[in-house]
Amino acid sequence: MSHTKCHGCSLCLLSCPMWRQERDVQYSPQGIFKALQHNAALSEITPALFSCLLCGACDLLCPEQIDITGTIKTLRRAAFSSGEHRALKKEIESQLKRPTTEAKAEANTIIIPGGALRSMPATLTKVQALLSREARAVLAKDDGDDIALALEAGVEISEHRRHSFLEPLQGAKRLYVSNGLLLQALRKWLPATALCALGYSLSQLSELTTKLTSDDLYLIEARAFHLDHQQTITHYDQLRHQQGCRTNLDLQRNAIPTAAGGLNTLHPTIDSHAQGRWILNGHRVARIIVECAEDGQAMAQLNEQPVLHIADLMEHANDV
Amino acid sequence: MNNQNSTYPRSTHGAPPPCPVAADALQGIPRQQTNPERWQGEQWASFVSALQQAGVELRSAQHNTGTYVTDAGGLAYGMPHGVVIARNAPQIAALMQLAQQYRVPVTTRGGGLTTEGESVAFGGVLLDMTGMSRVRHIDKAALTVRTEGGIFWHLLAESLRREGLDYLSAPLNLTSSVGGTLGVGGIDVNSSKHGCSADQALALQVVTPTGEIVECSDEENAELFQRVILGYGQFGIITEATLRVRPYTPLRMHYFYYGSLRDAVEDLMRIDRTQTCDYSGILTMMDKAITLLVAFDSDEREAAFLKHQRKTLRGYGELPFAIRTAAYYALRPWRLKEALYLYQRKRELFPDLQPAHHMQGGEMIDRTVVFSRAVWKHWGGRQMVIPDIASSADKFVASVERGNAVCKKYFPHYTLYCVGIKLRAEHQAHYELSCIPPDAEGWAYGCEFEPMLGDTHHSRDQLQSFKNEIYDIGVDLGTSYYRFGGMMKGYIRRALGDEVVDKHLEMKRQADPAMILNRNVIF
Repeated sequence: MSHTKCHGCSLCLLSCPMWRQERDVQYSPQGIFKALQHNAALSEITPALFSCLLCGACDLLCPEQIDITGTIKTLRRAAFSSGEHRALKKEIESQLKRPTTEAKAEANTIIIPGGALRSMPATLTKVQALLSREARAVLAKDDGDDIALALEAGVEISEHRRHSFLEPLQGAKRLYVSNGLLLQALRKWLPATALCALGYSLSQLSELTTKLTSDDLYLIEARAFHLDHQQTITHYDQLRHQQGCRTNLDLQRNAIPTAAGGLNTLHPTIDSHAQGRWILNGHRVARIIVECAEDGQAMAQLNEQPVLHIADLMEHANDV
Repeated sequence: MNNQNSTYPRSTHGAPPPCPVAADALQGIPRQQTNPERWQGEQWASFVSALQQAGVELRSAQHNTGTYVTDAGGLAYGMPHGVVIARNAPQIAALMQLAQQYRVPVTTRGGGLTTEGESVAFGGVLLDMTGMSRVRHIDKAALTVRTEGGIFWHLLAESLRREGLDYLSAPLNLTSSVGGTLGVGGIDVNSSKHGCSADQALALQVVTPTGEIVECSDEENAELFQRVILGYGQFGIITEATLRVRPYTPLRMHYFYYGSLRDAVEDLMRIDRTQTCDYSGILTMMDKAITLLVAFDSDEREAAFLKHQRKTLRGYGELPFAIRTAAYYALRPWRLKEALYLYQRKRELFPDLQPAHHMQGGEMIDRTVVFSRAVWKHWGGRQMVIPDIASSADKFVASVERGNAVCKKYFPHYTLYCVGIKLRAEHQAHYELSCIPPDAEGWAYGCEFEPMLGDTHHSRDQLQSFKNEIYDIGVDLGTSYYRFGGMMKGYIRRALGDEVVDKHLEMKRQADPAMILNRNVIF
């Protein structure tokens, strides 16, 4: 594994939510890798391993270009195999759905919105309408939330379950995926399909972005942003300059995650309330606009400003 | 061995060393070698037990201590017996009281960006100050910030920027900590305007080597303040600092290119004297492509400089310099390899000095990030050797030229980084026994000599010889150094003289009777 290349520069700490919370180098990629270089047992680094949000900011900061999040996922798998966090593994395994026999979707464009956005039907209708302008986009029946959780935790996904998730997607030419980790995996599993981050795609629609103002704080979905950083940073930078809105980008131009959703919900280690406060710190804004439904739920908990999903900048679905 | 009746810890070889800053000061080992002797752990078990009773968490597993095995220099290696993560001043005070009682060395570490092993613990306790890295309070009206000492400059900048503010000056490498920097000086490309980073400190909360928590400033406990600022961690641990800050401004950058080191250095010093720019510094690729960086906080300053000062500079614009350099190498085809290196280096480095997402309308909006990332990407590595010379203005050209000759002798590729440091008359007391040379007036000048080591293996002896040869220039010319602690402390007495060293040694013995705080950094 590439952790042997870490020489302890501390750059990964600068955008790391778990380090920010703990202020303890043990809770950072550097701390995990240095511990391993000094013969730490997996059990000794397990708390830090499972605190990582896999937001991907550190991958961009590492001057040694270590695949930090990839290494952490591998280490999580190894931790489970050596008997660490048995209860957590069991719980995630129990969430992995039984394979179903889903027919191929009869659509070129499919949206995988995730459970949180699906629980907001009015917003989801707008999302679907906004993404159907060129070709009708249909909603996937299977959100793959269990698969995203297993990917995040490092739990093995059975071939049957993976197949049942992928089979209905095989015919599509384009997929819009809300979850950044799922997006990353789908790029490997469906290399011939155009795979787009849902939030990023919505943020490219001028009918939405022209409604952003300098009184808005715009929350970029961190994982997808970091995954395609070279492309996304230019886009969001332009958005920031054009509309004057604030964003959750830090000085390194990495997106600060809310820590909402996924493994941190099941096994809370990072305080999403504190993350939200840090995102808001110093920004005097009237609205918070989110790309990701889970981020919206987390920011709404702070009870400070109205929180809107970006699709809700469109008042009615039939305005599209 | 019982050290309790000694004013200074005994060497395991017998008698205590006569002078801890002699040329061969590293306690029983010759100057060409590097690491000081490891503390042998006398009374460690009793100390640990006392710490536990005091409620101070100490980690001693190998994977905990191993994290701190070396510093950014990557040449000094040492393991602490245990690690304490700093959490608050009372915790550190308890640690220091017990460390003093049991004569256990305590080495403080912020970003660990020392290069001479100053933040490496050769036994004893490693106190990781990054555990105290929160901003306490920003006063926008008074333009001050109160912060914990272990904070990285980058994180401080992050908080300040949310309020439209910026620090005055900080090291280019932003994983340096505030406390560590105030303890040694800190230079930035605006130090010729604002002074060294330590000059922005207005007040400190310090835990003394004997475990008292003291607030100090130039008005309150002034003597402690003067000793801790630029004190190389000898007189106290900075747990909190109040710093002067300023309104944030983006940067308007200009680069001028030189083929002559002397011309560039003379131009740098001249524009500093005119005080017509806000940032200035020199960065070189060997002595073949020398870049004078000049930058401004406002359009007005930029326009005035371009109108009145630009014509006095002997540097070229990018294109004329490229043509001139190409012509130089066309006439010297046997140096093709060097020409290719310069070309490749420029291609890799320049885009990272103006990345689109940190620029806006031709202005650099995040210098804090751009420089720091470029430093790590293009100058960082597993080993970093950065000997330097800090001189008065009149000795600077000679220092740079002679240091450059040494670089050339040892390495095919290297960089020089030169900046001016405006001196503050009211801070004269802070500068005693520091990188600021005693004979400097108005401005001091620093030059770092950094070989591009890359993945090439160099023996520690070769690197140490290189450093020594640079520092010998300083002794010859009568200068100071920025990095005179740790492995290079054998130069302190020769460079700065017996009188001031003896004075500080006596003060250290009074402040730290067991001589435990940051042992071997200076004393």
